[in-house]
Amino acid sequence: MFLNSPLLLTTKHQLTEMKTREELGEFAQIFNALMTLMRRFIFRVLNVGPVPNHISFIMDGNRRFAKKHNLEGRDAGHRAGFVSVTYLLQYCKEIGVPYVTLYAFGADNFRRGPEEVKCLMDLMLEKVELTIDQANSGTLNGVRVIFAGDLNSLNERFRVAAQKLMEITEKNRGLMVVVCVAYSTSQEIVHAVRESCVKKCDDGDGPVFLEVNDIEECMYTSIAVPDPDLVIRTGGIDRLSNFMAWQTSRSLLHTTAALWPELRLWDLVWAILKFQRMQDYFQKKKKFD
Amino acid sequence: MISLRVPSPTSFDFRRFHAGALERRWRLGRDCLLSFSPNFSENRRGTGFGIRSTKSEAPFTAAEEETLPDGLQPELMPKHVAVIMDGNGRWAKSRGLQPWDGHRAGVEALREIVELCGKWGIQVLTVFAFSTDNWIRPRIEIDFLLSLFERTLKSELQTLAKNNVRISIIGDSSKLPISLLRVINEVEEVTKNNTRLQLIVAVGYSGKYDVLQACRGIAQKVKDGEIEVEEIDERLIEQELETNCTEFPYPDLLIRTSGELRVSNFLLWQLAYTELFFAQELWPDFGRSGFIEALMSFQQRQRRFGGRKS
Repeated sequence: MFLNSPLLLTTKHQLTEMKTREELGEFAQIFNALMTLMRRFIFRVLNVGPVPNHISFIMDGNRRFAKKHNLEGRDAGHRAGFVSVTYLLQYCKEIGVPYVTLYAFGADNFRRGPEEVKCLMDLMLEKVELTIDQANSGTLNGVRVIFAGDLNSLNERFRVAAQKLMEITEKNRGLMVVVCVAYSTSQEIVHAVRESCVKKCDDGDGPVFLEVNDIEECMYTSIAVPDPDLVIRTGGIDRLSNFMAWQTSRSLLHTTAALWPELRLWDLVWAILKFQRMQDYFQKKKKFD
Repeated sequence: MISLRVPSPTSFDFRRFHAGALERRWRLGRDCLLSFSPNFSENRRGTGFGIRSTKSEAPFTAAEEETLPDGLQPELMPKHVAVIMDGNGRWAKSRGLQPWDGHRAGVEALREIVELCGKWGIQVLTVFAFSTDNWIRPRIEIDFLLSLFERTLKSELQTLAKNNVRISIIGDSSKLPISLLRVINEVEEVTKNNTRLQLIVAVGYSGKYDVLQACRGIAQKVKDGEIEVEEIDERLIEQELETNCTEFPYPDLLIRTSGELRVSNFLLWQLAYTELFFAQELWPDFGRSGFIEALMSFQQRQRRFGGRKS
């Protein structure tokens, strides 16, 4: 799996870790094997109860992480965040969660300084191209990637790369990852309203009949993804930040104080346990839809 | 999850309402709240049942300003607070009472919060009274609630007008009884020029419904040729939403009681950058201390709206 790719270990923090691991050698391998076994055990216990069908992550706290650990480079925090993404996706795949959404870049984040935005875009492009390589070499089996958001507002190179990744992984079945780039709920609803207006206003001269389904069909994420059951937000902040407000109106909103690069297996397990605890209420409400 | 105002339930004696014929209780509860209690006196509250209110039966007197409690800064107070009043049913159940007793207790709590908002300079308070999901509750409960709502509006109208509170009702009014609609229109008309506090009550409301009806309005305008499809943007949708009755349609703070960590289809579009606060107490227990805690938590948060503050 691409977890072991040396290309990912770009921060000073992780480089030191890698060196120590090489020195330890066999001990580290045994330790890793033990960890995998323990993880499998934990996930099997989790699977006794209901597991969320769709988890969405609001990845907040990268820059705070970089500041906290004095990492150099404007995108150091975000690179650490990407490592976290790979681990989380691995865990979700092992638990058996079929859909995962990641809030990578919001439409409102364009308000940040142009250097930071450019930095983020370059980093995302780099990672997308890396993932394309992995998909081509066959290490990305069972993961399908979709990009949601206003892709037309992004630069040409990124759009082309994103399109290519979507095409390459289209046939994969297993885990579906929706990456939200240049996404915001208000923008999505405006887009959906426009599309449904165009569709409905061609039907003759009578009054317009618009239903919820008409709008939902025109959402970016409507293609193949159900509504999220669980929203995990890192960074200790309790906000939606214009992310999937329509789709998460009934989901469990969970906040962790851990910053995104610090998100551990235990945080994910705890969120899922909380989801399982709230199942009674959830099922009751679901019946009434 | 439904908490509405009641005509001054001063010494409501819960102990009289034991489990008995459902119909009889409902009728009794509907008609005579007060005259039931043999010892009708001030301050004789449901002792032992924990209905808290720091004030006695004085009607809503937000005429005086009150200094903020320690720890709250006036310049960081939210302009618009939204509340999901959850937990009345559970509160009543935990005390062995009927659901409508819980709703009445919830009303006390609401009254307290409205008073505090008026005193502390919060300009808009939106409360989630009745959701589109609540229509599946038993017919008896729905009828009770809607008639309660009607009577409360009628009786509280003078008090609210005197205290310069403006009431707006949002939501799908197509399923509400005609008498209630008439009262709503009257109340909105009488209080429409008041400026101190705007109380928005969401009845028959859901966030998706709001966006849908805005969308329908826009689609009709496009069809009639008043606007082009390309002109549809965020501002236009904001104007078409039902919260266009206020100057501050976006809540700064959303409080949900009873420990549920969900938004439950309340105010979808408007919650884009709202700070969420989830309180563990049930709504009738929320009161002043809970509200202060929520406001303190709000004031400590750093709001970035997608940008950077560095």
